[in-house]
Amino acid sequence: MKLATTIKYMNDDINEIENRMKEITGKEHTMIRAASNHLLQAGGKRIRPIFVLLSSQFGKPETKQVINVAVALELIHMASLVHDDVIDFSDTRRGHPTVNSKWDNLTAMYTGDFLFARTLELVKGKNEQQIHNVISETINQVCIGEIEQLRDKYDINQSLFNYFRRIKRKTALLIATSSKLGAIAADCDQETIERLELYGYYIGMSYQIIDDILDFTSSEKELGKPVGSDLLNGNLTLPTILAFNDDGLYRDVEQFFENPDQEELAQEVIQKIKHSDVIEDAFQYSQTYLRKALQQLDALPNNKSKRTLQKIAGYLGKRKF
Amino acid sequence: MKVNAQHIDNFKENFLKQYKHPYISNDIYEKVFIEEYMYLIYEAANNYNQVIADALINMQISLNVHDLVDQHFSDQASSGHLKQNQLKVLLGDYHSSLFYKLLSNERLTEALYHFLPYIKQINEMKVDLLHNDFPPNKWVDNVLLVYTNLLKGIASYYNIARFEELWLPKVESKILNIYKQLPWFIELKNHDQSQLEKVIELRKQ
Repeated sequence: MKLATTIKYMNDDINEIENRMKEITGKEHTMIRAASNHLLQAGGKRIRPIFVLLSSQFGKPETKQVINVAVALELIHMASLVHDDVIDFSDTRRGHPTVNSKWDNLTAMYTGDFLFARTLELVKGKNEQQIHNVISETINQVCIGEIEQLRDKYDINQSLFNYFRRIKRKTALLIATSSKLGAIAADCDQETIERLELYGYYIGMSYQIIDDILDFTSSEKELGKPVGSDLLNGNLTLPTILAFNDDGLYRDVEQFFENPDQEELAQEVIQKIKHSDVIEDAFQYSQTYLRKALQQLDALPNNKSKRTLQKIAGYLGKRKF
Repeated sequence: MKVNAQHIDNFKENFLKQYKHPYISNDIYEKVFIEEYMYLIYEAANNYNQVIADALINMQISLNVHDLVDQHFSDQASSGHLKQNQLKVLLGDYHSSLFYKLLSNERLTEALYHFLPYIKQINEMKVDLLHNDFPPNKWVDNVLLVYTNLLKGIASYYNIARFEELWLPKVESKILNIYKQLPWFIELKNHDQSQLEKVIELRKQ
């Protein structure tokens, strides 16, 4: 079953979040509104709001603050995407021209900065102090992670520890924060908040590992970018780090990192990794995280949200792209 | 308290010791940490609350460093230049996260909510400056708003009496005296530099 079918019953809430996002960005300064609307039109999986909504169902959801938090997290995500597109020189996102390509880099920078400030105003309300503490810590960690990722590009000396810390900051923290904040906004007890936070963290880790595997095993059409882009761009991910047990392969990557113009060499490495056992080994890591995510749900009350969270974990385990 | 160069140096050194990202080179900080200007903000807020002063300096670094991002990417740019440019994007985000984190951790959400509209207005003004033609006089007015808006926020937060009348003209004059260090008067201007300089010279008097 597809994820979209699993969460179909949440469509009303998701539409409300979408409308609220349009309402907020629609009221703003003309040029920033144009850039923000342009971003909104590109759409997205809205995965963060979905986790906020699902987690809130374990408490006493006061819809207004839950929706505010869901909208805030998605707008923060959008603000970060505008800046990411500047960093990655991206021309398109989900088939739409990026803000930096439609206008210019500085318009993208200021639109992102504006959206970030606007978003923080949304959190005003129930449990706002606790919510701000969580979001501010997460954003700070994400920023540190992004700087470290740029620092570590084309650096062969990276351990599994480096990798797991990087994907924690890159992906898992924001998903953990989404499920944690849904629970906080709905006044859940401390144990439930912690379990949902951990569920999000493990799901995020698993999700990113699968993403990094698919970068080798999927097709250019499915990925929307060349196969092996991570390695080609100097980023070491789990399959490559695991493949370093093969001395020859380690030396090939070392040589490529010393001279990134040798794309043929990189392509050979990508093919070797794609057809090696490390893909299965990396998959087992993601499965371990998924099992841990599911374990966190065991002690939570049986309700529809719990079943949906379980299904999401199952869906991730079978994700093809 | 009489402010001298030593005060300003100490402020800069202490601030960077506490908040500079260890991986980012001093070069970028030298370009964005415009001492005399930053000290105006710091001094104004630090008289009341050091955390708010630190948070606002972090925000001003974020705003300043994002002004240094290349308007367009050039295919001819070296990989080193591109990486520096990418770091500027990330460094701005990092310091903006410190602004948020400092105020949240100290339970200063009231101050956070107070300053957010000023930050939004600065970004709105910058987008306007990028996309509209303003006559030189109006350009200078708008750029002054970009550089004084956080100070206006401080004045309104602490109810500083007669700010607009007594304090703001002095601040604006100081900013115009160091305009050559401020990107919106130099790199990002959309006027002939000599035209702009004439207006600035007249306004300084």
